[in-house]
Amino acid sequence: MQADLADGPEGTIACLTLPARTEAIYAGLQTLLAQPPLAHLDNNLRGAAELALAEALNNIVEHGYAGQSGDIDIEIHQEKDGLFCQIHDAGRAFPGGKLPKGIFPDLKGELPEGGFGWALIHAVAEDICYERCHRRNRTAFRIRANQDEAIGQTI
Amino acid sequence: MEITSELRGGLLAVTVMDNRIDAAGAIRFKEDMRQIIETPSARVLLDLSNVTFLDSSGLGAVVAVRKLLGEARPLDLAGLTPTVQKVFRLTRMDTVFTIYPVLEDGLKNAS
Repeated sequence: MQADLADGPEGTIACLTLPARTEAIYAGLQTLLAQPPLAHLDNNLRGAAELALAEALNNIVEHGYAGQSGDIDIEIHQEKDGLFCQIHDAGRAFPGGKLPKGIFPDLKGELPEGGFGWALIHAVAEDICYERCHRRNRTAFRIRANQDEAIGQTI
Repeated sequence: MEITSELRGGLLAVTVMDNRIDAAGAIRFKEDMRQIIETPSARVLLDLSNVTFLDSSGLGAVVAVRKLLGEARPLDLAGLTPTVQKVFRLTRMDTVFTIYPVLEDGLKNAS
């Protein structure tokens, strides 16, 4: 895993600005996955990064902008032992100005069809932070190279 | 979304040909599956071996299909790729669905 990361130089940054629409998120993720630093990663780390980014971005489209138009700025930095991802948007703030706790829904009783998004981000990402500044949201997290270890700590 | 299906005895074997079930495709997946499962069968086996990415919306759509089928008509899964498997494991949905390593295993169990 470390060797794969070494294929791309530490410090490589990918930046992308997307309109806040579900189809644009899909296309944007494909663009990001095809270029460094994501393109160089092994499948495990790449899958975790794609999952965390997809959940965070779709959450912004559905709840942050909630049908309003606007942009989302994404930055992905390659670090020595993983990725640092930073997202800026001008949608609504998180309720209470805090990140969702990210607790997986209970599967007893009627099966839930939603509520998994932020729980999945908490499960695959670390150092998750959120701040609201000048009517903009900044969400950031790290995806560590050793994913199995990260998941082991979560469960 | 491209989905193929084949009736084998009492089992409807359904294969998703696309490589993603995500927020952009989840509603379409649910609608396509709604039509496919109109074919009567005792069970439905969903082959996800081509799907390399499934997010929470995709997972919600699979759960919705399970609910459409009802208690009497089980939805089993087969061929989960590593990232898809991770989503099922983390959400503990792997404890809710019967999951076969490959489609053939699920088909054997049908007889």
